[in-house]
Amino acid sequence: MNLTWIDYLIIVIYFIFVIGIGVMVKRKTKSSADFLQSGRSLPLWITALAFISANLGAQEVIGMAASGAKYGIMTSHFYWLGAIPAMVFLGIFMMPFYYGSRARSVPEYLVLRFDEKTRTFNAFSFAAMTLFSSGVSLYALAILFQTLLGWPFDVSILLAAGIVMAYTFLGGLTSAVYNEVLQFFLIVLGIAPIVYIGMINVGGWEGMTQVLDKSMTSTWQFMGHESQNTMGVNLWQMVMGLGFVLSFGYWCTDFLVVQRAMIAKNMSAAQRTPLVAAFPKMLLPFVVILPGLIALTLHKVGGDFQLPLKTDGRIDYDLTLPMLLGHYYPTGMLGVGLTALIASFMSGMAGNVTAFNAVWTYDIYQAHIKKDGTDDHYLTVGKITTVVGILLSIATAYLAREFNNIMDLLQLIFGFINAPLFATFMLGMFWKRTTSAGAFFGLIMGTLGATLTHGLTVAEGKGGWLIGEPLHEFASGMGHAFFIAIMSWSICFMVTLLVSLITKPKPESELEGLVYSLTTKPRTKYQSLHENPYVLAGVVLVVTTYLNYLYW
Amino acid sequence: MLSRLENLLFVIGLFLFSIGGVVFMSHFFGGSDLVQTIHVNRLGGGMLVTVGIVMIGLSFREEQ
Repeated sequence: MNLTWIDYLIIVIYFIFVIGIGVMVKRKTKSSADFLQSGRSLPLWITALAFISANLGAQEVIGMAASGAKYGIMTSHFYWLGAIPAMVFLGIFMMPFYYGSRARSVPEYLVLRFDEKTRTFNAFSFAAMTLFSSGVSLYALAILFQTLLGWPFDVSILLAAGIVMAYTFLGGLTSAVYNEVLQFFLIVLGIAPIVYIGMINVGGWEGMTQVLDKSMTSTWQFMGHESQNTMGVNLWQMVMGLGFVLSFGYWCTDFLVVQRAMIAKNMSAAQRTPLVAAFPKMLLPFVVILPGLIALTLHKVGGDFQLPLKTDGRIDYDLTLPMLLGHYYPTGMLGVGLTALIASFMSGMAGNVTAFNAVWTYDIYQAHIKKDGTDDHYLTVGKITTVVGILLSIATAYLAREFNNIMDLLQLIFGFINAPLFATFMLGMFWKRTTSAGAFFGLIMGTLGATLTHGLTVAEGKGGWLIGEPLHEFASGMGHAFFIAIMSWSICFMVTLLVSLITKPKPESELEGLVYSLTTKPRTKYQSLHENPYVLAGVVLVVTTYLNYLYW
Repeated sequence: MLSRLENLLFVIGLFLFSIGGVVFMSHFFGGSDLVQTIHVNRLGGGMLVTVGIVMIGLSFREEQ
């Protein structure tokens, strides 16, 4: 792939704007709350777009196109089943507690509801996960640009990390969020023309269905048994594993995304953030998954487009989207397409670094190292944490070279950490009898359960490290990850429940505003329909159901 | 002008308009003259410029 000066000019314009946003925001960043929480002042449209953009990193953009080519339209389960229902649940049931409790982070909610050790466990595991994700984003960017453009690995890492550091250091969370919104438009508008041209090229959806196997163009019809579909996942694993445990675990408890709603200017905006975000989110499969199906159709037809092969002769799905960019885009749009890819990497990285910042400063540093510092002190700590976070991400990027399949690994980690966490939140928010001891032991046992399940079972040659003869072999790594998540959630749920029953709960007076049954529900009169979260949630669920039906 | 640059809608609109403009005009600056190439750049560049103008317009309306 050859770039000309026009393409480089577009990349340079992008870099100027992202750093320029940091410079402009810096003037308004005066306190630690401005730097780490955007002063809780952002309007709904910004928080909603940042909410989905924080999740629109490289794993999503490149990974979903790759999955589209590998698994077909079934990949949309990650949206229509594995995201939208959880986003609705977050908006309707959980945001009132996150926002109403005035917690500055998800771990801080845990200290209010339970105790310090539960918060610390979550804070450390979350900090490690964000650094890992940020490093993986950097690593993937460097590998991609080395493969496509021949850029040296180290140069790509230092350039991307340097720019993310510049704008997050200057403007903190607000700068990251503003850039996420800009990156959202760039990613969508940079990739959408490929879908338009590609669909015309392959004869539309009809043309694709004539070329591709039926299981590639259906979302639900081949879910009876894992052998019937390319994902190697059955209906129970998909619905319980992805649709419930992993999805709710990620969208409802992962501070990276929840933080975008927590910085809204008021409760109404915070509650509607995930609901409004659900509208573009449900349409994203048409931008990020369809290119994969288009590429596979072109590959099967056997024209002048062929998917690249790995050294072992198998298709290298990870290059699906970059190869399509090279195939369809001339000088000019090629620059926009590549800038969109760079934006997706940087968006993912900045999101992780800013979430790491807040959790480190509030939940680790302020809670354990210096409790009574001045606001200036915490602002300085936040800024130093930005630099340290980026440096650790760079170190992690080099470590990530050791792993081959980024998506499977991330799923695995989410299974270990996020899945049990959702059981803790569910019980904590909706059952006042849940105790601190129950929550802590539930989390520990859930994470241990995930590790044990991984060690005792195997899929695609991974796992089974605890035993010579694995107890069960799964049809695919994805099915394996879903099962681990189900096990860890179930173990956490049961342990939390049982330990809570034999330990003493907090007095009810300390749980007001933190538990559903002990919180007064405000009777709000909505000025218009779009201000009513229940109406928004209803519309979102109806449209999502229709999309599932349409691609049944 | 400086205060306008603090409006996110305006900044994003300006960004999209700028890169869209470069793409739209790229064949004048040494890009390919192939009809297919010009068509793709006009489509993509046109989308970027249009959305950019709409956002700049909305930023003025927002301030009123």
